[in-house]
Amino acid sequence: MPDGGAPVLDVTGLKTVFRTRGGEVHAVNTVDFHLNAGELLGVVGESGSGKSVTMMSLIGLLPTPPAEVRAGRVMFDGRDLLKTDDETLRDIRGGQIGFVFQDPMTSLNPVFTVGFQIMEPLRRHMGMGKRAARVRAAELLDLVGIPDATRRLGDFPHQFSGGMRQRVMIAIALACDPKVLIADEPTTALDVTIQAQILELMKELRTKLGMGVIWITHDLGVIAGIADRVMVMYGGQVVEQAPVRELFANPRHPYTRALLTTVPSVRGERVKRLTVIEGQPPILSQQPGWCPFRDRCPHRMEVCDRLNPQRYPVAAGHDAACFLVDPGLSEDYRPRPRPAPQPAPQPQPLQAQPQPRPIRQQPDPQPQPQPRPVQQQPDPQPQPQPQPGQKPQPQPVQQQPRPQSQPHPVQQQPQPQPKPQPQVRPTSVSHSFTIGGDDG
Amino acid sequence: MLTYTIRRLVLAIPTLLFIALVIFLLLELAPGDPLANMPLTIPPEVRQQMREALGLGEPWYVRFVLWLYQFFVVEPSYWLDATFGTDLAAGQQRIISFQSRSPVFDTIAERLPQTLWVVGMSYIVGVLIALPIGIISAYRQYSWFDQIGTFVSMVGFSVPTFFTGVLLIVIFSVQLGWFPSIYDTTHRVNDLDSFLFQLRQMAMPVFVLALYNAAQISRYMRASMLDNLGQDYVRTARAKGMNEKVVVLQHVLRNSMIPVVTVIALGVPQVFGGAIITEQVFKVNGLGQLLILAIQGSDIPMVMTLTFIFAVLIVLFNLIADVLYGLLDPRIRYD
Repeated sequence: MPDGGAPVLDVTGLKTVFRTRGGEVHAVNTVDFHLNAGELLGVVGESGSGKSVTMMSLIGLLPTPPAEVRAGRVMFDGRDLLKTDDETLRDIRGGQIGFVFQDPMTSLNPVFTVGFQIMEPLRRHMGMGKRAARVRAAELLDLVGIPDATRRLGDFPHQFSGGMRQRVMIAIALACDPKVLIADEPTTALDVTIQAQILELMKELRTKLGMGVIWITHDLGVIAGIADRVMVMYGGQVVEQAPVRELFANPRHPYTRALLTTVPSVRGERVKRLTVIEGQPPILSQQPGWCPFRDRCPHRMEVCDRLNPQRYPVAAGHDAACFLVDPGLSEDYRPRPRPAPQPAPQPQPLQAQPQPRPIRQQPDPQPQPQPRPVQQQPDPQPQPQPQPGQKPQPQPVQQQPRPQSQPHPVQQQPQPQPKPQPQVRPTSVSHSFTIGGDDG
Repeated sequence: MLTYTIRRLVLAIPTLLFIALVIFLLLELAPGDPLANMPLTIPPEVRQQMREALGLGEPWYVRFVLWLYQFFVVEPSYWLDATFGTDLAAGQQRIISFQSRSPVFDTIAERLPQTLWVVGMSYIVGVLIALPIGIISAYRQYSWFDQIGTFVSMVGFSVPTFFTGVLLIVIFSVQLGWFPSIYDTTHRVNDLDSFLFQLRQMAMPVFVLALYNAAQISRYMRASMLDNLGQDYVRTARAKGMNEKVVVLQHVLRNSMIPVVTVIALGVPQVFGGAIITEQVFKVNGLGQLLILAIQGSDIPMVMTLTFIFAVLIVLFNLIADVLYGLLDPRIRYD
């Protein structure tokens, strides 16, 4: 479905921080993604994984005192949204980027009529007069499937049911024919039948209007049914990104896999307890220099504590931020009988990262020579094997032209042991590690 | 809405009759003797005659019904007679003050203008100051403006008016000599100078009361705004690209005003009640002062009438507040 056109929205290195009394909370950590025209991008992740905050940061909807967008570039319509002035941003909000929020019961202003609230963006962005706006508002209500639209324009939100209110929200979001629609858990607060109706409506409207949609949810079922491409977020970063089928068929990040196993199945015996991912998502007081998922990951390795994995391409249009898929790591760490050493680059389909990959690494507290970019694969060097077991690490990488400062004293033993060992959990690591590893 | 209002008005009648009864009985039970101020040399039998002349010889229920009759029939007819030149009252007995021996309503009519000017003006000023302060304080929560506003309201709210009043007199009348410390009721405004004098003599009592009212209302306004600023619909309005002025002054304010309007409406009867203490401090001979003097002199008809008028106003403004609430909030429908 994605027509592969140029991205309408291209986000690079987005970083959002909340200043709270307890210090800073890094809610969004160097997120990169893009949205193609006409594409529906699903964004999944637990509560607190930074999905909503990411989307709100794009368009300056976060209240600025606590929140602060630290870095990044959000290209939309040839402009960097993070650098435009407020007035232009307001023109884009509601005009070219529409929003639908989670709770339809509270998202509409209770003291204004639904008609007034739909007409507002029309008059603001399209310069319509009252009468024209009214006609258009009725059309929009009709479009989202509200019967007797003209009469209902004069009704107040409390006279609509939840599903109807969400339809009104969608009508408001669509009012000015946006190029992008950001739907933040639009069906979470609705019951299942209404949810199905809204999903149906969105599918239909998307094809009708040809806009790009970002659909935030934590419901994988919804994603499977509606998305073209999926982006999984965890700890304020994108951990995996793939076309929807690919993601469900072949999840590569341990978190994605864990998420998929948590979905209860209707088939099969019922007695089994529901699968859960043990632990809580992290609240990050700094940009992590480690893998944010390490504490809950069954495959935790020593590298995971030292480095925050970048997103490695694993298949066409599919990438995952995990050392397990790092082509630089030994075959033995690969969880899958994926025989072929990771198909190298495939720069094409990865529109996701047109930029140099190692985006995430900057503030890494222990600057590490990067596990080289994928292209190096045919490297004669015996595959580095960063020796997960031992403290050491950066050995083979020295030839890397990245003279990153190397605070690691361990430098001395660069034994390029041919066979490292998958005993991932030996010595040298903290307790939390053992614990984390055990309950995996 | 209209049927609702009418129903409420009809229901108000038994309420008010009951209130009248309670006030009457309270005054009846209260210690004090209207003749206590009379010279001790008056012989007991004369005293008794005087007592009967005041109507105190009758049993309480007779006096109560008589008072009701005078209040609801005789006094309105006198008012109609005075306005339209009719002769409905036909010389019937009006409610007479024990102290001044003049009709209670005449005294009230004399005192009302001062109270309305001073206390009413202070209420209007207070509201007009409080609303913007509340809005800005909430919108810029924890800014220096908000901090100062909070501090001043706390001071205004917690320091009693008899203290601020006297403090202002000490500073502005005694030390600086800018404003008169006594409100001159006999002053007539007929040119610019006399108008300026009127302003000057009103300045201090109005300021004292306005500070107190504004402190209260601005807190309500701020709390209500804060409550609404965090609502989801505000985010929706911003997501629609509305500018901050529209978001705050239209979407948020309209919602925030709902509880505040109620508070403001419920405060209006107090204006008529007069600010008893402040009127004393600045010697404004308004209704508050009248009430205090009447209580001190056991002037039962005067106290009874004034208190009952306040009760009527309170019931009435409660109704007005409810109707306004229904008008402002579409979720509330009375029928």
